[in-house]
Amino acid sequence: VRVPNRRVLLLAALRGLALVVVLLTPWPGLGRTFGAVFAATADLVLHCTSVGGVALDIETPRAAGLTLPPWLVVLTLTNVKTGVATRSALNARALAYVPLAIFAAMAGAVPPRRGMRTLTAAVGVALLGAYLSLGIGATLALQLAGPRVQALSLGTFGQRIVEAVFLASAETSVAAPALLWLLTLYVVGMVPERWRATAERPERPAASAARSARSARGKTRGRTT
Amino acid sequence: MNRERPAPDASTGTRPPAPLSDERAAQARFVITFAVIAVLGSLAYYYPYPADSTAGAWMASYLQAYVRCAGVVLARLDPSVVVSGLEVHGRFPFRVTRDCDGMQINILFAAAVLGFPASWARRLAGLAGGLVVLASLNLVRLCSLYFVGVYWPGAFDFAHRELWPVLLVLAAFGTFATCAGWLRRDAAVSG
Repeated sequence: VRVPNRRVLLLAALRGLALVVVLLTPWPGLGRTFGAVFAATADLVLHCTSVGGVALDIETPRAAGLTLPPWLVVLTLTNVKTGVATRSALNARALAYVPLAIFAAMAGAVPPRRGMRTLTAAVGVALLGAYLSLGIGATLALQLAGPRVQALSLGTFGQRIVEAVFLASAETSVAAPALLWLLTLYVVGMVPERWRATAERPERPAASAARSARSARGKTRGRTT
Repeated sequence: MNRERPAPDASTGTRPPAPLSDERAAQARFVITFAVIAVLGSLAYYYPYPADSTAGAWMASYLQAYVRCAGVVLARLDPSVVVSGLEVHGRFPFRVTRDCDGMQINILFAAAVLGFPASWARRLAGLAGGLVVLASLNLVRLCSLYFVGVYWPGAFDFAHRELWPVLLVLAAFGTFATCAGWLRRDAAVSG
């Protein structure tokens, strides 16, 4: 198992940290915009979804006629039979934005090799999408299993695991996307050469030759100094 | 299938680079071991042990020891701090729960070190050293969060939910990279 040298790791860490700072800064308007995108996407997925006779609906506070801080969206659970609705706020920043930002920062800090970027992006987006869906699904499951709705039963262990892994542990929402990016690079690295060639146009020979020449010059310099 | 391993270089005592298939196999072993240990460790940690069970009592005393350590440090910086059970009382009272001990990071670090191909003695030494570093950093986190709560209460949530998790994850990556470099030397010499 190869380990990159210290200088490479330090540069990657600094690049990643700078990207994290930029992406996690609460820029004006970002919370409301992301909340609206999150609500629209979730609504698209959950539209007409019903679990145990309870319909799910996610909308922006404005659409729900509420005034809430930025990043919060409104989840409405409606009993299809009785029509009784229960509302609660979901934090789109914790649920989706932070993992997305960490994943993007990792992608910037440890970029994929040239000629494999499209494939890496596709695998990465699929893995991150699965993780985000799990997190959002876990949140919805907890709400459905809550004492006010009781449309679902998770059991004590299931509830504890779901709470701890997806909601309570802030470290998980940072570590998981970072590890997912490394897993993406690993998975793409396992793809056989002939598949990579069809997945993306190979690098131009001129660029490759120029890089080899630069690399050779660098090695010579390293030996003489 | 029994494959011959390349012989060590007599002058340096190191082995020549492993063939690509061997390296892939080692990487796959590392990824699988990491995932298995991380999942099993997380399940064992988050299992809702009854309070009167041995594991439950151990968990409670472990958290209390954590809080007492944080209390000792905080009391030196702010004499109003008093520790009672899992609660820290002072100008910004808070309660330490199971998710405040940075255990998720420790589990991931342990999984990475234990899955790394090296001798068990080195792996265990690296694990112990790394866990001491990460636990100390988590103590710094608890203490700093107290003062963030006292002086910048509006920034507490950001520091607690975003800033410190990023720093802890970065520290875990850094500690693992340092540890892996040390373990790698061992693997290169011993094969």
